[in-house]
Amino acid sequence: MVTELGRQPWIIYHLMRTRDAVTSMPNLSLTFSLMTALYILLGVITLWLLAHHVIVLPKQVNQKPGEVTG
Amino acid sequence: MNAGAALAAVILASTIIYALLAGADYGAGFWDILCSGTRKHEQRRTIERAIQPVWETNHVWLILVIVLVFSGFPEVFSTMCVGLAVPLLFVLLGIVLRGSAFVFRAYFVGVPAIQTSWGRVFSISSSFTPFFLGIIIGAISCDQVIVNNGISLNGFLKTWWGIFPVCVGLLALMLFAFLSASYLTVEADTVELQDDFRIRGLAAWAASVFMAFITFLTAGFSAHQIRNALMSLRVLPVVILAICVSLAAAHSLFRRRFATARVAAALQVALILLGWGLAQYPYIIRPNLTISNSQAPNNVLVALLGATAAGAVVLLPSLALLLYVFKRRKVYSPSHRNSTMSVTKESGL
Repeated sequence: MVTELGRQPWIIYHLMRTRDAVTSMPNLSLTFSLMTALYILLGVITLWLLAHHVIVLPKQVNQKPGEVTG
Repeated sequence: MNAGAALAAVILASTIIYALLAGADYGAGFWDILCSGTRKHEQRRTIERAIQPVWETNHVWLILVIVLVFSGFPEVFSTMCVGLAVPLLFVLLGIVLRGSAFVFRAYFVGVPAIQTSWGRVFSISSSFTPFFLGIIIGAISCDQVIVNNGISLNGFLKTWWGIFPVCVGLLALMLFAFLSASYLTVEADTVELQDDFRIRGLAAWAASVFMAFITFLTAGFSAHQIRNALMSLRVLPVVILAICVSLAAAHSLFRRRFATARVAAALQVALILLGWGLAQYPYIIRPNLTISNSQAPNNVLVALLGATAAGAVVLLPSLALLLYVFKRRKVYSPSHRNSTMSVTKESGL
């Protein structure tokens, strides 16, 4: 965050401004919010799964190690 | 050969390797939803076991293509990102979803219903990703993608939503399905499973031949130039060779020579992409962008080629080792192999 925020408003320092580098494709907010929502959703699922595996599953002794490889 | 053409050749080579490795993973995902009959679970397990160690690594080649296009042919990169933003978005969505769904399915142990849903997400996203990758290949070959000063002349749908790109998309999906089924016949560890994938492979082969024919016909309406280039003396030998290898692949699959079929199927896909690349030369995006008018300054290209060569020294032996560890020929008895497989997986992850 320090490098990204500290560099603004330049995207390439003293060469190109961020506002000049953004794509000319319209409806950017739509794709941006779609991808952000997707990554948040996947992030939440990942956290839940990790928590589930660390907190809940070790109590089940019949878990075979081969089953949980991803 | 100048530096621009050399870099374009490296990009084409990476695209081919990506198709041979990751293409088969997409194909395996496509077959996942079509697993059926009494051996449904065994089929799914074969698919899972086949792609588990390699599916993430295989994206190295796509990343290499993106980075080389981005730095070596910036004009091409920006034109594609604007004109083909929609199919690129779908490719991104597909890659993200299939990867996560595959992993989530493996980790939601003990909840079959949720595992089935993730399996469906994995399979559907594995199927539409190669479709859109094919659409991108089709779109840059047929004079539709024209971007001037950041404005796409054909908007955001007409650049790629046409009969020719869609046919190329379906062709890519069918080719990957065929490729994957041929690989899976070698991965399967019982005769019945080999037969399941053999039948699927032959069906996908027939479908891909049909799609190739349709694509060739539709090229007559909307992509004359690429069609003429494919028929030119420069490219025709590759096309004919691809057809011969394709027949050999189907024949070996039919005769149950699975190891030969796997090699022939891979060679077929490689030759098709090579033929396309040669037909496209010197263009990268028809009709305006060629290698020479879109390349970065020469010193950048030389540096990029040097960096790629240096990277290859590390990358290629590592990948060879990965494939050797997980994909070498089966030499153990099935029971012994299973126990050693799980040990290697544990230490590998």
